[in-house]
Amino acid sequence: MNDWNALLQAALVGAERPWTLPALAQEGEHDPVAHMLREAHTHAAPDSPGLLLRLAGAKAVCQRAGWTAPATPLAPIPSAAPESRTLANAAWSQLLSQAVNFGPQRLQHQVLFAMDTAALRAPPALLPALLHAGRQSVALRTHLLPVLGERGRWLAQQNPEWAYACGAQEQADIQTHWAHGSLKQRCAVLRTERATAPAAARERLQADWESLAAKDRAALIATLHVGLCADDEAFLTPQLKDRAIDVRRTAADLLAALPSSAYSQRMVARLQALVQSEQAEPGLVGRLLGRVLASAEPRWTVQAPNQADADWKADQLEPERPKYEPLGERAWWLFQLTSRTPLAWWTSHTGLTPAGVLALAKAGDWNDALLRGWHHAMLWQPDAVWAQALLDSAPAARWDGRSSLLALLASQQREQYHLAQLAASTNLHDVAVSCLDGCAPHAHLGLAVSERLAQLLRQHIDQGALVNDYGLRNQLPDLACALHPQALPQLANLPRSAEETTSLSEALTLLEQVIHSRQQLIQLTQEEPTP
Amino acid sequence: MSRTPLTADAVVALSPDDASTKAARGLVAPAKWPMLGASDAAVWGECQGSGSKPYQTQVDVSGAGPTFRCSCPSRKFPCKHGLALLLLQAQTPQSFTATEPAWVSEWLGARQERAEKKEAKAAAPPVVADPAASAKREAQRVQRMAAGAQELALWLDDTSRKGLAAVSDSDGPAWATVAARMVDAQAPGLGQRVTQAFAVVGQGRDWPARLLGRLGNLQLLVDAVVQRERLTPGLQADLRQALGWPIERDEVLASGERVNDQWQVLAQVLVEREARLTERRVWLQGARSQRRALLVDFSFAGKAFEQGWSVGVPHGGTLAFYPSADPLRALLADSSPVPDAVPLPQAPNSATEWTALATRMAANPWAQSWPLWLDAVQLQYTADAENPWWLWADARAIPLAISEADAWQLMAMAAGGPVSIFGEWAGELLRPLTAWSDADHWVATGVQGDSI
Repeated sequence: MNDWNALLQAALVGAERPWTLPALAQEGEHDPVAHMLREAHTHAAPDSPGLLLRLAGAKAVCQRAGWTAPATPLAPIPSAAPESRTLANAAWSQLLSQAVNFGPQRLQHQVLFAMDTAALRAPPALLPALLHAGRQSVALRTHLLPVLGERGRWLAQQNPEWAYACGAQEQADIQTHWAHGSLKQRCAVLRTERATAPAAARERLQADWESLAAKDRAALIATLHVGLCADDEAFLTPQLKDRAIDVRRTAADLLAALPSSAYSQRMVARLQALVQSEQAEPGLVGRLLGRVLASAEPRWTVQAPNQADADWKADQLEPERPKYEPLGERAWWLFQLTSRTPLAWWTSHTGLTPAGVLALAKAGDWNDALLRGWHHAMLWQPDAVWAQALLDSAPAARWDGRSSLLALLASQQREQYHLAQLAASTNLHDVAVSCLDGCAPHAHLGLAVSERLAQLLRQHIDQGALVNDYGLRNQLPDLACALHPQALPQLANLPRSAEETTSLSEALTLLEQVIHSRQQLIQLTQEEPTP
Repeated sequence: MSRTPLTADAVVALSPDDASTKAARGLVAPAKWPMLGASDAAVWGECQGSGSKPYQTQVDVSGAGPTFRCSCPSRKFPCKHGLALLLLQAQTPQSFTATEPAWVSEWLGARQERAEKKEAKAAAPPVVADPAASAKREAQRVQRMAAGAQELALWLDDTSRKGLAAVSDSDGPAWATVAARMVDAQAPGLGQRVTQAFAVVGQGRDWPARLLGRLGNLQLLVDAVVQRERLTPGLQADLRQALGWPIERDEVLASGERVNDQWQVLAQVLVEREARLTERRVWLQGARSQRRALLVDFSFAGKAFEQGWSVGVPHGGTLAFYPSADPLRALLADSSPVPDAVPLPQAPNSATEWTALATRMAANPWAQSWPLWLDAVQLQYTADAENPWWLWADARAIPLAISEADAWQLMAMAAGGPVSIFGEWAGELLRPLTAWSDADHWVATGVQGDSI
C-alpha cells in the first residue's frame, strides 16, 4: 500500500483509530516526499491535532505537481483523407451558415445543391451543424453528403450519431462504394448502374442478397425501380417470400409495375371479375342487341370483393383490415387490388381514358378506395396522363402525396395547374402549399406562377393580413425560396413599422434574410463556373 | 466610414447565448431603429423598445475587441440591442448615416478620460489617508482571520477524527454553517473552500480521495495562518489571496512588478457568477518575456468592460503583477498601440510546460487552476460515460472538461491532425479554451466545471 492510500484509508475510518504510514520500502527509498512525510509524522505527537489532514494535504499537493497523464491503450485516430473538392470561400460559407442555422429547409436544399454542383465543400466550422441537420432530415442528405467533404465524412466516423454520413471516400471507384459505402452510397451505386446496365446492377445486388440485413434489402431492392424491365421478374418473384415485410411489399409493388409479370396477371384476373360492363352475359338476342348498343357507350361498374381469397396472402394482400384504417373492409380489399394492378390495364380493359376511368369511379360507390389505390400505383408506375387526371379529379383535396403527382407532370402542365388554382382559389395559404408541393426542394417555380403568387403575397402582406395568418407566415420563408428569381423584387422593401409585434417582426426579418440569402445564392451561382 | 463592419458570424460569436442571438435577430430591421450611425471609433443607434423612450445602444470598436453599452435594463452582456446593431451593420452598412449624437461623444469622451485618469493615477504616488488608522484596521482583520482559522482547524480535526466515510449529503447545513462562520471571520476564501470541498461529496467514483485532497489543502492553509510571519513575502500574498482578502488594485499598480511587452491573447473566458455578475478571465503571454499573465475583471449588470480583448490580437503594454510566489494575476497598467501583429508564439515543448506547471504548483500550493499549453495533441471521443473527452499525447491520455458542442467543433477544426491547445488545468482535468492547427483555430464558447 502506498502512502496516499494509507492516508485515505485512515481518513475514511477516522483518525480516532490508530493509524500509521506504511514501511518506507513500499513507497520507495529514494522518494523525497516519503521521507518528508515520515519526518513530519515522527516529529509530531501521535495524537497532535490535524496531523492526518496535514500529511494528506502535503501529499496531495506533491501528487498534483507530479501528475503524469496515464498511458492509454487507445491508438491515435488516423486523420482525414485529402480533400478532392474546393473549400467554399467566405461568401459561400456565410450563406451556408445562414441557411443551416436559420433555415428554412428549402434554402438549405438550394444552397447545398448549388455547392454540390459547383464541387465545393463546407468549411470545418459548419460541419457539426451540417451533420446534425442531415441527421434530422433524410431528404437533405443527397447533396449534403458530398458537400461534407472528406473531413465531414471523417468527423461522422467519430460520432455514432452521425453514422449515416460515414462511408467510402467520394473519389473511390464504384466497387469500393458498393463494398464499403454507406447504405445511401450503395443505393446510389445501384441507381446509377441501373440507368445504363440494368442487368449488371441486378446481378450485383443478387450476389450480395443473402448476406444483407432486412433494412438494407428493403432499401436496395427499391432501387430496381430505375430501369425496371421484364428480366427483373425472375429475381423479384422469390422475394415475395422474404422474411421482412418491407421487402415483400416492395417486391410486390415492382412486380405490379411489370404488366407482363405473372403477379400482374393474377392481380388483373382478380379485378377483371369486379370491373364489368353493365350488359349481362348476353344471349343470342343480347349479342344482337349488343351490336346495336355498341355504338352507345358501355356502362362500366366497379364492385368491391365480397371476400378475401386464400391465395391473397401469398401476393401480399392483407385480408385483415388494419385497426385505424378509415376504409371499410371491402373497400380496403379493393384498395389493395387497385394499388398493385397495372394502371394500363384499366384503360385497355374499359377502353376509357384515365379521366374517363376516374369519372366512372366517381359515379360508383368505391371512389375513395380506388383513388387511394391509383395514387399508390402511381408511385411505382409513373404516368403523366394519370397524374393529371388524378389532380384534376380532386383539385381541393389535400393529399399527402400531391407532390409526387405534381412531380410527374411536365413543367408546363404543372404551371397550368398552379395558375388555374391561383385563379380559382380564395385561400392563398392552400394554393401556396400546393405550389410548394409541386416544386422540388432545390428548384423554383416558373415565372408566370411566381409573379402571380408573389403579387398575391405582396397584397396580402400590404393589407396587414399576416398579423393573424400564422399558417401563411410559416410558409413565407419556404415560398421565398420557391419563387422565380425575377419575382423576388416584388417582396423587397416590405412594410415595417415600429409597432409590429415581436413575432411578426421575427417572421418579416426572417423573410428579408431569406430573400437576401437567395439573391446572394443566385449571384454566387452565376459567378461560379460550372465544372 | 472606413472601418469594415464585423461579419454576421463574428457578431454571433460575441453573443452570450442562443436566446440572445435569436432575440437580436428579431431586432435586425431598420424600421426598429429610428437612428443609426457609425464612425471609425464607434457604432450607435436608437432602438424602439416597448417603452416610449428608445434605447440608446453603442459599441466602441476602436479597441482590440468591441465594447458594448446600452441603456436597456438587460443583464445579458452584450445585450440583444448591441448584437442587433452590429448584425444590422453587417447586413446594411449603408443605412448607418446619422451623425454622432451627444450621448455617444460623451461616452467615448468619458472612456478616453478614464483611460487618461488611470494613466495619471498610475504615475502619481499612492495616497494613504491615515497610515496609522489603516495599519490598525489591518491588524484587526488579521486577528479576526486568525481566530477564524483556529476555529476551522478544530472543526477539521474533528471531521477527520470521525472519518470521511461518515460524511454524507445530509451534512450540507452543518458545512454551510462552518462556511458562513468563516465569512463572519472576514476570511471568505476559507468559507468558499469549505463549500467547494463539500461539493465533491458523492460525486464520481473517487470522491473520498478528492475530498481528502481538498480538506488537506485547507489544513495547509490554516497551518500557514499560524506561521504567517515566517512565510516569504510572495507566499504571504498568496495566503492573503487564498483567505479572500484581495490586494487593492491601487497597491498593485503602485508597487506590483511591471513587465512591458507585446501581449498575445491566448484565451478569453466569460463566466456568469452570481446573478448579474460576469467574470472575465483573459490569459496573456508576452512575446519577448514569455511571461504568462491572467487578467480578471468583473462586470456588473451588463456594464462594459474597460478594455476589449480578442484572441489572437496582440496588445502592447505594461502589466503590473499581483505579488505572489508564482505571479500570474496582473492588471493592465498602461497600453500602447501595437505597430504590427506579431505571429502567435509556438507552443512550448511539452516536457518544459509540465515542468513549469509543477514548479508553479510547488511555489503556490493554494492555487486552484493553472495555465497549460500543450503542443501536438489529438482530441478523442471515447465511450467512457463519465468523461468521454480526452487528449491523446504520446500514447498518454489527458482528461478534458469540455461541452459536447465545443468538442465537436474542435474535432472538426483539427480533423485528426495534431493541434496545440491552451486551457486551464484544474489539477485533474483540462478546461480547453483555445486551440490552433496549422491553418485554423478554435475558441471555446464556455468553460465546464468551473467551480466558484
